[in-house]
Amino acid sequence: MLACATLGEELSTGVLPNAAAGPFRELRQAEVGNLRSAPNVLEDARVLPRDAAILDRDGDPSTLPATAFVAATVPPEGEDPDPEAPPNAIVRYGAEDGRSFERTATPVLVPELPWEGGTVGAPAALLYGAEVLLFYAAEGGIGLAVGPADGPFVKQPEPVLGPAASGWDAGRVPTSPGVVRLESGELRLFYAVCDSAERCSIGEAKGSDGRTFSRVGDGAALAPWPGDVATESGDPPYDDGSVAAPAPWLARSATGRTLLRLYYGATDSAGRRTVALASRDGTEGPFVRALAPVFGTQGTLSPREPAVVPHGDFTLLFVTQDADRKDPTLVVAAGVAPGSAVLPAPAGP
Amino acid sequence: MAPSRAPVLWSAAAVIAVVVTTSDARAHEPDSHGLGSRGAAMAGAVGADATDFSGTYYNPAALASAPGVELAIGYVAVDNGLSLNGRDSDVASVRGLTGGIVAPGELFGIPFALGVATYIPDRGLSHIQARRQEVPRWELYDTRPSLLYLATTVAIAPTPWLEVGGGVAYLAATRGRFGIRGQADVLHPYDSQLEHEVDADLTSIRYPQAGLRVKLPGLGAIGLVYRGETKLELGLDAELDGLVKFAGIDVPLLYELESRTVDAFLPQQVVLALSYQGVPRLHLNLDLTYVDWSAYESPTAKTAAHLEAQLPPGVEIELPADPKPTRVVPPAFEDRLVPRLGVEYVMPVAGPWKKVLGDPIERRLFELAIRTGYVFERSPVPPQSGLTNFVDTDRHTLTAGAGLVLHAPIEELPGAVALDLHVAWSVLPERLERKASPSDFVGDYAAEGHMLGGGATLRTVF
Repeated sequence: MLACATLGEELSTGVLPNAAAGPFRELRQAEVGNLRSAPNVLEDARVLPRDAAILDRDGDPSTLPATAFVAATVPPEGEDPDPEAPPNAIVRYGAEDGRSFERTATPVLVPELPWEGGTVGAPAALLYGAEVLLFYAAEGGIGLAVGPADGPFVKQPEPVLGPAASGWDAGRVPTSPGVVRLESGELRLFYAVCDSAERCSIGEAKGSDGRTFSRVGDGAALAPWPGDVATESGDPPYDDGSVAAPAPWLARSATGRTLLRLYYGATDSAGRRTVALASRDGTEGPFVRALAPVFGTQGTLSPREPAVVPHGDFTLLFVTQDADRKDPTLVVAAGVAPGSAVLPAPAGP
Repeated sequence: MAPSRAPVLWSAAAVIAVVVTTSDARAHEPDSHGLGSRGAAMAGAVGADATDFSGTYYNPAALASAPGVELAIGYVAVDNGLSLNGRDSDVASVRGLTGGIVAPGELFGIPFALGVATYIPDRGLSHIQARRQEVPRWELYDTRPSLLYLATTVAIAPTPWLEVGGGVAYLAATRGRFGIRGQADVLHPYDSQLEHEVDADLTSIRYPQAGLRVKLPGLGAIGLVYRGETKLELGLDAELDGLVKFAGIDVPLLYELESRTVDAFLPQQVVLALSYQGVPRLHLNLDLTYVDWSAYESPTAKTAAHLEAQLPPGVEIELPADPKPTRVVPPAFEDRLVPRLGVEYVMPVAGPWKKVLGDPIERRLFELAIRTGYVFERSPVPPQSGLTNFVDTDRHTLTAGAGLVLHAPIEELPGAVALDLHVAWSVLPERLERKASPSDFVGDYAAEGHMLGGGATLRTVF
């Protein structure tokens, strides 16, 4: 999930306008360095990194260096990680080109507090002045750790958003945070709540300092598409099963319009997973879905947990997906929009 | 297990389709920039005042007043500076030869004239660019084809005050088929044995032109012109039929692509033209053109494709489903009334006064015509807030020009030799397109631009 502290500018690509908001194509081998195998930019059998939050280190879309905060499963010494186990750490990887991540992880957070229930994962990072606000999901809700990008991070003792006492998501644990800072300085925290493991909706909360949040509205910001309603495109809905893992991006259109984009993991009623986009005209009001998913329509690798990083003429998308059709090991893959984008040379060998 | 080749095949098919269907494109030159430098210098406001070869396009009836046999040849060039979001859209410039012949005579005592006019683009006779409807394009100047234009007309003057003319205009068009057959060895591509076949026809599409002109002695003339609708129906059939060899496995493969599109749509037009000539040597012209843009048909290609592969038992390859038929969004263009204003003043400059062929008054040997004009073309394209991105803006065009005329310079040439020059400056003010869906993949954009054109035409009347 991405948190973007600056207002990304939508620019034309080539001679044609393009919002650089999707669809995304997979990165090609020549676009990825550090001996990574495109489109996978994070793959590590030692700690099983997944659910990436990518932080643009200086918040400037024109520069590339980024840091990935990812959920990981760190096994006991001498053992292999259990892919079925919940993540027990958040680790960090750097990438000078914004995508070819280092091959060695640096630990950032581990579960320590009682309410975390032995798990931390699904990070979301926001550059906030000189500090990074690192939100994460744990058993009891969404937590926050604060510190410089290179650490160390200091945790808040209690969740910044726990289960609601009343309302549409009462009693359900919020998870998968995604955070964005509006032009007014206000923070918006998007999160997923699930009726079951298979059906989730996205909620929204607001806050001013990242330490406390209050829920927005009396319903989900984005719910699964109603199965009995036809889509605008006339195609079968792509997210009538579940919407989860929100990743917001505050963008500005070429004509100066402020748009709040929300990428999310979409699941249709048949269980097929893609990454989708819904946007607001401004920062309030309903989200309007794109006509089609932005990633994963051609493959069978079940992409989810998106993070987006705008770089002016192009936007990078990072998703967690299966390593291949017959290997459910999770990897972090990357894509770029528009498809015609030419990326700067990758870093490393 | 053999790896899936399906994405590769789809990619290859897409490449074939793109190679065959895309190329540079420019607009229909006479409609966009005029025919001949005299008419272009007066912003095309010569529907009641074009007795030279350009009357073949502007008003066929006026050719009945041609003073003599005329040969004309010229060149026109227009540089397009059109941009989207401040970036040059690379809309190709327009360059080509213009020319024509007018041959007047009398039949059973009735004056008549035959006229031929043409515009030959520099970069080929027929260019088409087929794009998906969501891809932004300058619809009136980019994706419509640059075609060879040829018009033939006949005009008669049944009474001294009435002239009637008509004819047919032709545009070059193409239809094509592209096929590949043979064996492709994936691991040893140089051992592949492929034969390809391209079958393309250069044909023509036609549309009628007709006009009448009423002369008002001492005042000028009134003209009425009709230009018919035409469109180019482009068909493309591509077939890939062969054997793909990979790791000892032979896979018979058939890929079929069928694409149909309508392009080069020219709406029917009706022109009411007035030419006031009550002041000696001054022509003050006003044309009003009704353009039936609402009949405009989307140039979006309707494509069907099918892939078949006979896979060996045990090979797991998921062939892609046939693509969905394209859901073409109606362009919903709006009819427009285009006003044109043109002025010409002819100054006697030097030399003796002479009687000139077909002219009731005497002229000096050397005369200079000064011309100017203005046309406002309000965009027929509605707001592009949805899926389509037909880019266009209003267009203001200021024109100017001069005609250097030698009247009867030698005894053997009782008519005239004229060199007409023109420049045209078009301003396309900024237009903002705001998408109804904030999730639109193209997003909002601003369109604006300019065009700078010029040309010269040499005419000889004898």
